[in-house]
Amino acid sequence: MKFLKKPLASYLYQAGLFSVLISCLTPLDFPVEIAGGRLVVSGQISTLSDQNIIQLGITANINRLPFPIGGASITLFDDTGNSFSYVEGLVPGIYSLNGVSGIPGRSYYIEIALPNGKIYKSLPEKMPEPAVLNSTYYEIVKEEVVDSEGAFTSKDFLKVYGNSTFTSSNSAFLKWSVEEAFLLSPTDFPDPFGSIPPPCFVIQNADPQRVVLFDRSTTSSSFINGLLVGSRIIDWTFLEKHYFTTYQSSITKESFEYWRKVNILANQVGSIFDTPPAEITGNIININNQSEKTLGFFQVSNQSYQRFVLRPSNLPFPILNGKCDFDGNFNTDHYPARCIDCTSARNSSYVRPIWF
Amino acid sequence: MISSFKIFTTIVLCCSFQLCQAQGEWDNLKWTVIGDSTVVSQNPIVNITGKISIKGSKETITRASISADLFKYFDYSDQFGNYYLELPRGKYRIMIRHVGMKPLYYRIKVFSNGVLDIEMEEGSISLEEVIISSRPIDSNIKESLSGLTKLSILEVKTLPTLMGEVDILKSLQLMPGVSSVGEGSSGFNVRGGRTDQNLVLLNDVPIFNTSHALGFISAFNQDVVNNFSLYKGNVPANFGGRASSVLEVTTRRGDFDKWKYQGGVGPISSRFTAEGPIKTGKTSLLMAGRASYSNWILKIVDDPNVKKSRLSFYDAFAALSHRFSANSTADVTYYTSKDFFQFSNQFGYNWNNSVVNAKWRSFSNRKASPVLSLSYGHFKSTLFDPSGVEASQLSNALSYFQLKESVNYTPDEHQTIVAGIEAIVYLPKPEELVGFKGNPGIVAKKVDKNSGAEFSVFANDDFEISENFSLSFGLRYSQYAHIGSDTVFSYSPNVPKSTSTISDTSYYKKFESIKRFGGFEPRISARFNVTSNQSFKASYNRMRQYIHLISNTTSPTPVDLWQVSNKYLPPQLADNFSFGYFLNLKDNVWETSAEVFYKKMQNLVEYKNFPQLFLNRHIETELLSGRGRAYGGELYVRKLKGKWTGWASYTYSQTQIQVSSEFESESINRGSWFPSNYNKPHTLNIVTNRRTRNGGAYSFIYSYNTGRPLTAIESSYIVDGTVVPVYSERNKYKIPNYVRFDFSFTIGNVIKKFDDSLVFSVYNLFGRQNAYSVFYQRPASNYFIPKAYTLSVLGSALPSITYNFKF
Repeated sequence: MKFLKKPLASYLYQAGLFSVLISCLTPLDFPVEIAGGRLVVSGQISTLSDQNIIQLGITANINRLPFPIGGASITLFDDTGNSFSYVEGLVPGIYSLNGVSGIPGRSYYIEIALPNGKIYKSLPEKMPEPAVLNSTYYEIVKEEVVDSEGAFTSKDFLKVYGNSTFTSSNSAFLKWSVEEAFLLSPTDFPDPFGSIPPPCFVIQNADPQRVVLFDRSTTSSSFINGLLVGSRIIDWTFLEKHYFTTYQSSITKESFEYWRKVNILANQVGSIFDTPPAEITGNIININNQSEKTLGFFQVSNQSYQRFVLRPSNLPFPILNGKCDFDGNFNTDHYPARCIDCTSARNSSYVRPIWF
Repeated sequence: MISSFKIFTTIVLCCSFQLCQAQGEWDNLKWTVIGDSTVVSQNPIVNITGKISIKGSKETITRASISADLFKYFDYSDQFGNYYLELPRGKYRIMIRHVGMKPLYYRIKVFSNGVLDIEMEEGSISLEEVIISSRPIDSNIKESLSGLTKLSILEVKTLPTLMGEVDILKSLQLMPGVSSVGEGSSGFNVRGGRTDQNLVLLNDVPIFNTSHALGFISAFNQDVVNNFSLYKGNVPANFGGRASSVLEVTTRRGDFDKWKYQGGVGPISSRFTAEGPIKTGKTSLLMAGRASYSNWILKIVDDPNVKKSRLSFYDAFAALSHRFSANSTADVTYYTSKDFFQFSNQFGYNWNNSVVNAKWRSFSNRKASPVLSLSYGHFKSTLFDPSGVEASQLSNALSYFQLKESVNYTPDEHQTIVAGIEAIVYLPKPEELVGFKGNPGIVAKKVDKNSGAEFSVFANDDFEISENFSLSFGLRYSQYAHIGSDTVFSYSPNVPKSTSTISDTSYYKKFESIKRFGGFEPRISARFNVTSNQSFKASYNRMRQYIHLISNTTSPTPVDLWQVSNKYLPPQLADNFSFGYFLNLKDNVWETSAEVFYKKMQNLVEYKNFPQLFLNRHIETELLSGRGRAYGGELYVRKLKGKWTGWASYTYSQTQIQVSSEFESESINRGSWFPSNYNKPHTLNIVTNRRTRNGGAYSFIYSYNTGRPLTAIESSYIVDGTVVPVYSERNKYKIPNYVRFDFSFTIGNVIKKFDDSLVFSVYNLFGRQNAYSVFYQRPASNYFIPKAYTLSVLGSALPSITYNFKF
């Protein structure tokens, strides 16, 4: 039932995309008035204990991503009176809750106390029943993309697919995402001690703008096969082994609605076939000032996953560019920043996942 | 006294000269026989009727004068070009005259009732004298109606075109007060009204989709269109059902005397028309078709998805006309169109219109001529996903039946009364989702749509109180009923409507009345002539609209829903006021006007944020009701005669909407007024045309308007890795201004002894990359903040060549 998985907005988006593809783009200096200072909450309680992460931020009054909020206190409550605290990690604004798994049928909400004394609460959400992700697989295809000069070039893509089955007791609302993890090996400059710089590990959403949703009420089918859940251009990040993890999340109807709207906004192209954009109301409220507009959503998520690894030898062609190998030049400016300090790459750290 | 004498003397001399000239013309003419000489009519008084049209184009001429025996018997042709002479049997000298046309002369012998169709030629081949107009040259001064725009297809054919397609809707947008969201968008906006507030009539039948190719090309074939009139100020009471304007498109009849053929070959489509008598003088047939072959354009685009896309359309028209007698005619017209668009193998649209109309007119009594019209229309749109195991298609269809009976009563030359009744029934088919090409993996789903019936009674009196003062007064009463069978939900009061607040469900039987609306719609327009070449006009209109386009995009799409009024969707109501000053200069060579207007609209359909409009049994939970206002002024200067002709129009216009509620989810922009999507305050159009001696012409168009409103990204944040933009309030910003310059050159008589022409046209001559909209994209995958770009759909010069022929 693609129609309901990809609602009308998606087709209108593509109609808009058609008009974009046959047209010309010119950069536009478009001054806008930005009002920052709004709380952004993004996170979940999952049935997978290592996926309980919450990100806190505050929107900037310039056109950039929100500033992280450190030093906040986040507590998870369930409907049996239990409470658990999320702990801020090394990266400011990112809080995790280890060792706790969400239980289907139980309701959860969080309370956030910011350093400035403001207290926020999420609306309770009931953990849904699971659905089974049977397998995930990939294929490598060539696709035409527009380069920075506006010209079409052919690029290699890794396409990730999922196969799932359902039973009548399964959750009605599903969301998929693909996480990637890869190694960053910095440049090993010759030194008298022969020390080797430690590698970094990047873990991030492989195709963040793709929001894959499914409403089971629209179909009587008991399975989905070959669902495209992510697409990733093949580049220097494939120089070493590269893991892909497909997560299938059973979510609530409210969460599904939220993501449906995110999907619309994330894919607006600005054509005359776009629906009027608007702000998405999440489920976080200021308990002392309910008129305050916050951004983001705290969701409960019954997750299952499948993972595969791709090594350079699995690729039908060699990766030639992007290596951090020492080439005789000791000038650090000669190398990309990630080759000198691998933690400078986005979502990079020295923490090695146990399965890597 | 002296000046009066001079005027009198001049008139007498002129008349004498014309009559002397006419006498010479008559002397050389053969006798034309009217009626059957073998039948001796009991009645000594007989009728001669017929149609006066322009030779070649068959375009009818309004208010051409026809006189017998030096004005002893006299008539003017009506809006359909028909005339009626009542005179004793005998021999007569006939003279037909119209401004800008060569006078015509006949010598006739009349035995019984008969038909005399007349074709007039343009006034002169002198470049100084050419005037193309479908109306009397000073009608802008003398007509009671304000805000009436009339263009003839001949005028439109001389204008530069996009890809060689003559487009009456795009031509109208060069007139003051008419605009659209942008080039390539379907529909048009009149004086701040919405696209669904325009009643587009093809031979009296409403048309629900007026464009091909997603809005780039008009649905009307140039070879069959006769005239088109846009009522944007005062709308006579015989029209109703929409809140803003009426576009009346009339088509030609086939030739009653001999078979003729015409057509054209353009870069994206070709057309062919055949017309002629089935029974000479009695029955004629006109058949026209147009088909596209536009896919080659998509194939030259770099993007592989566009290369694999397909876009095509066709339309066909047929008109069968029959003269039962000299006093009675019948016409049956049929129009159908089909469009197809598929984007790669990902999705597609197809949509089609079909309308059929049967009309009977009687001219048995010039003072009261009845017209009976029966119509049926069908509009269907489909959105499909052709690929994969989940291939499916979603269809919507609307059928409608219309009956209209009106009587034109003309007690004397100073007064015309039109009165009648009109009924229209809307019967939509259920919205339906099925597997594409029978794909069994899809669970079919149907959602019933509302049906409705509208009945109106109207009368309009247009009369000249004195030479300087005329009044058009009309009254229309419309009554509408939402009819069963249907299921109607009730919602708890004092909370926003949603599926969780349904309090009751009621079931209604077939044709059972569920909810009624109705009311009077007064239409008043007055004209006061200060002098013979200047007048003031004022008008007031109230109009009700019982069918609405459910479209939540900036420009309508082919798959938008048409929804009739129901318990939760009251009729749109518009009050239109206008006032204008009209001045003609240099013996009507120059027409000028200045008009101001104000429009107040109620019950406009708006939408909650992120609405689910398709396959929704509770669509009312996604709709909001708003009010609107539009105001502005229009300046218009037109040169009708001389080497150079053309016009300049400037429009200042503001259109705003307000949607407020005690509930935040049912308000837009916190209940404040905000500009509509098509609010473009300043619009300037300049059109010039120069005819050449060989039947060719040069034309230039300059078009400027301020950018339309835009809801822009002000900030962004990330949720689970996905960058989510934060948008401004609705339509807070505007896109850059728009400027375009077009050129066309027509060469007449390309092949000797052949009636043909070659039209070379360049759309957007200077290749300006006008902003169609503002487009956002992230410059690179590691760059999170979307950047703004202007999106130009027609961002380069688009030349085209079209060959037109007749034989």
